[in-house]
Amino acid sequence: MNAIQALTYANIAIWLGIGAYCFFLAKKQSEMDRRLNSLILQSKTENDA
Amino acid sequence: MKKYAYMALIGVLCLAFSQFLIYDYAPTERTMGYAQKIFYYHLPLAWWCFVSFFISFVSAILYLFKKNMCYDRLSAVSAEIGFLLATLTLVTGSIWGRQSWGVWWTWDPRLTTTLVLWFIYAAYLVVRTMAMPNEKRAAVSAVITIIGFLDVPLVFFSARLWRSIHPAVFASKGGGLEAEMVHTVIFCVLTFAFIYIPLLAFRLKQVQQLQSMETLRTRMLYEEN
Repeated sequence: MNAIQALTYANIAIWLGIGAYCFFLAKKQSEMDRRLNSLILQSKTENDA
Repeated sequence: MKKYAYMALIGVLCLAFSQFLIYDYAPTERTMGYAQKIFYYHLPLAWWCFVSFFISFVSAILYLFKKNMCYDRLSAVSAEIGFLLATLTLVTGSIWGRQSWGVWWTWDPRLTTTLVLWFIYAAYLVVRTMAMPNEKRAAVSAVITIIGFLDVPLVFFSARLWRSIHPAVFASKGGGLEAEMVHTVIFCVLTFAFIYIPLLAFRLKQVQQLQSMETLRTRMLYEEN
């Protein structure tokens, strides 16, 4: 590994790290939206009954 | 939330612009060559990791005094992002170490204390996922955060207190850096502020919504019975 490669790998690690965390946040958000929708649906069904 | 979205956008643009400063504007160091340029990421990551753990520490103390779950959430989110930054600091440091010392890892005081810090916050994140009442989890987490933070000054001063091969950058005036190098590193530190703050705000909002949803679900279950 030469110096330029080392710098590139460090760069990649940072973008990957921050990108992975953003992906984790997005996944959590979609999971939360799904749970919220099911809660709303459940509440509607109960009200109708 | 919109202002944080703009802030994140500025952060990403600044991170891209920092590439120009690092590769072109900042001079190449004579002994280490291009590998020294890892410093422009490594130092901001480490500093923001400390800031993050400090926010977590202060919030944990406030939680223990005021018993307000807002502080617990802030402490947890800040520790989570701090953990990410600590991981990236270790990874970039390891790549730099391989290039300049010839090894991926050495049991140097600075590196060892940082690894200990990483393990403490890894344990903290495990505790956060454990099933227990919210108040109990918040109290246990606050205690771990406070104890864990005691390692931060150790990490910071380790290169000055003990014989360490890790450089203490700003130990002397200017740290022996050229003006262009200082400009670049300051720009990179500010860039990471534009990444850290939106991440903190988004995650905090998310955790808050998650807890509200849990409360709502519990109430619905209670009403059902």
